[in-house]
Amino acid sequence: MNYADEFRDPVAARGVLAAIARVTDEIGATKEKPVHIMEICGGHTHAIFRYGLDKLTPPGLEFIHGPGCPVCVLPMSRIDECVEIAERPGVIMTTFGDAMRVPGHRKSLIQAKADGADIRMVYSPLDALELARRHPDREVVFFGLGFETTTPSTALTILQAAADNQTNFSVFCNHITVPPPIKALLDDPHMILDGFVGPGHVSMVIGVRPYDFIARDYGKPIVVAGFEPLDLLQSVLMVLEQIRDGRAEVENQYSRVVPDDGNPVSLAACAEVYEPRPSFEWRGLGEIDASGVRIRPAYAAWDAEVKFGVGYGKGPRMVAEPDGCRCGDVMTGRIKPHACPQFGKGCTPEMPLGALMVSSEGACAAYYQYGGLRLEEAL
Amino acid sequence: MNQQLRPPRRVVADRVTLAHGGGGKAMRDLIEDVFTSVFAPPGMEDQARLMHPSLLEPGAQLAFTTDSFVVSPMEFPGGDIGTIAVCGTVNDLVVGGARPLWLSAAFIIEEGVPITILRRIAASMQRAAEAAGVRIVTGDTKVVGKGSGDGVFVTTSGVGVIPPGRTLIASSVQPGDVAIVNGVLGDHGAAILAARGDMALTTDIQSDCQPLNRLMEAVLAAAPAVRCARDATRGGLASALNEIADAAGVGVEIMEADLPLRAEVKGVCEILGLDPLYLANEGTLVLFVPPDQAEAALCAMQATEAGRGARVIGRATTAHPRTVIMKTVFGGGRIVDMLVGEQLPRIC
Amino acid sequence: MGVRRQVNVACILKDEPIEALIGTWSLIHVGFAMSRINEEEAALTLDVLRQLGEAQVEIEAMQASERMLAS
Repeated sequence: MNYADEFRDPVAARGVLAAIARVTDEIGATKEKPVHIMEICGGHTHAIFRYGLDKLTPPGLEFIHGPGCPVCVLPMSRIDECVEIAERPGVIMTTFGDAMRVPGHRKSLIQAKADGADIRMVYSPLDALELARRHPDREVVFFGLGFETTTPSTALTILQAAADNQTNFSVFCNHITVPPPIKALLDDPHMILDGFVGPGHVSMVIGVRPYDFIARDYGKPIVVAGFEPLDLLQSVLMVLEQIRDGRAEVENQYSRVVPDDGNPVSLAACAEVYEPRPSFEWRGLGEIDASGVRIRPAYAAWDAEVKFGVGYGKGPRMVAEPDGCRCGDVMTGRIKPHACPQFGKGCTPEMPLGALMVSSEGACAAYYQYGGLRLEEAL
Repeated sequence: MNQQLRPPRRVVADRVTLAHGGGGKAMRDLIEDVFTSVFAPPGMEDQARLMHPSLLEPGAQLAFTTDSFVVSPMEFPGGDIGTIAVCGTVNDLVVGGARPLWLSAAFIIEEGVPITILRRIAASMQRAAEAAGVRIVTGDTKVVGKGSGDGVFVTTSGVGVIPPGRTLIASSVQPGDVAIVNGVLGDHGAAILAARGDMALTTDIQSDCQPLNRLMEAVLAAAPAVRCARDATRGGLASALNEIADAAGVGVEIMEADLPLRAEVKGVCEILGLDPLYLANEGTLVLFVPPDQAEAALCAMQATEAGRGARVIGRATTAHPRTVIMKTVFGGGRIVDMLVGEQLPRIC
Repeated sequence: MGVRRQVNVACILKDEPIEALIGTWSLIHVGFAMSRINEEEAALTLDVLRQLGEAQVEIEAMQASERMLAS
């Protein structure tokens, strides 16, 4: 028992898959008139392609790949600002590997590193703090990004830095929240979604109640899901059953990890360190109200935006996406990745143009890397 | 004769300085004390003068390859830059069907490198060479200023002989051919990642670096129809398979359930969001063999030290030419493409 | 054995000594233990999955024997 392998059992998968086919049929969904389920989280998108799950589900069920890849939705101007900080003398910029290739207007972090900036990949913000301890003569900045899953780890690291009075450490905060973009998607008049697979790891922090509005106000089912293939399949089945039965509820498939009320320590640390931004830009989606957090004035000493005088609203913002990029349409389910005119031509994982090609958790990159159209042609 | 009478030269410094690259006495001390006393090349001319009976066989071909090695850290669990500099070049010869004979070794050394590390690297090289049955017969050293290098860079060239009648070539792979690997995947890549320390992970994973000539000779004796072999170094198994699919114009299908992976390597990959198919190996090859000799090839491999963990992992197909597809444990499929740039940890 | 890494356990520690965590499973993310695995809930979820799997194996067996009888 390690709480992972058991949820990869192919025999059990056959049962769930058969049930998914049965319920899809009962709903009356067909290839021509499919039921649309959005997996919000990029980790789920990755798992779907990694295990080829979309090839095992019936044609009447269509996955719409949501905006839940924090690297993909990071606006280019924030990369520009990060590069600007990283290129200051004496700075060590630390980041998760995920962000290294995200394009900015001028350059990506990997290009900035090649140009001489001291940029280092870390596994944890705690490793960045440790680096600051080891290099008292340098300014160590952590590029904080991610959803509610990662937000508490940065908050706790800032609290640790404050407790230790580690003044040569700061965080460039880009943390964002999941519920606001879901609301934005649901408010879109062209929205075609029938239900949601909810993000499991975000929910272990915030609990399941922040999704109540999806069921209550919009009448759509949502099932919070784990990340093993069986978790995902079972959650899809639970969403389909709700649709069939005409129910719209918040259900929790990932109850082994997600308590209904989330994690009180994490939430308290976040409340202590962060406050909501009035709005934050999402690449491909535009500005969304109250969808990001910033560091409270009480912790300004550890806020890289304050320390380096760069930050949100200070520079000119270029919200427009590059020509021909249709990431927004992919994210709202209007088109499949390969229907974008730039897919695989002007936009590839080597040289991503749009948000969704940036990380392998993005729908376009997953399509490109793991199959999508090419796989359909091949099989 | 004079050389034997003269007392052996000794390096007196603790660290390499620019003087050790200056062409004078300090350089000769370094070369003789650290390298040639260990490698014992035949003669001290600027060239190796070599004879081997296998070269005289009608139809025999000379195989010649070169490779440069840079690795950080220079020393890691299971080996060091010297081990891979020998194994890598030996294996480049071996996968082409050659019997490796001689290597050259050229070192670019950054000023400040401790002499003791050089001694350890040289000892590893000699050990690996002996294990592979090859001799390091010529070489060179250069010293660059501090900051112009990263410790030690090693370039090895290798010469071997392909016996008459052997043609291992990727373009000869036919649909139906069986793909076999000699053991677990990704150990080297995972060991290096952990040894670098910037992710603060500790594991017992050791690099798989090892020479594969005994394994390959055993396989070719038991299954002479083997079409081709590739060592799955940089870019991992995924790159090796893609190269073969591309060269032969066939599809390749591998089964996820059959891929040999150590639990620790899986663990490192899950923590860092990496795909083991793209992790580097330094003693792992994949070969394609016609189905009627697959069993013989597999058994021959498993009877060798380097092939105990050998497994059939897939086959070549007429379907999806030039594309590698992996059947997942659920029966779904996904494309296994060439790596885009360097594989970066995917964490958040 | 395995892969070792120092993690921060602040988020999963309740009013108890740190030793209370020995032997428990947790989900780890970027160097932090984020949630203790609830073993009872895990068993319940697995039960549902197993039942679905077993039911399917039975259905498939029945279909196979029907096909045998029909031929």
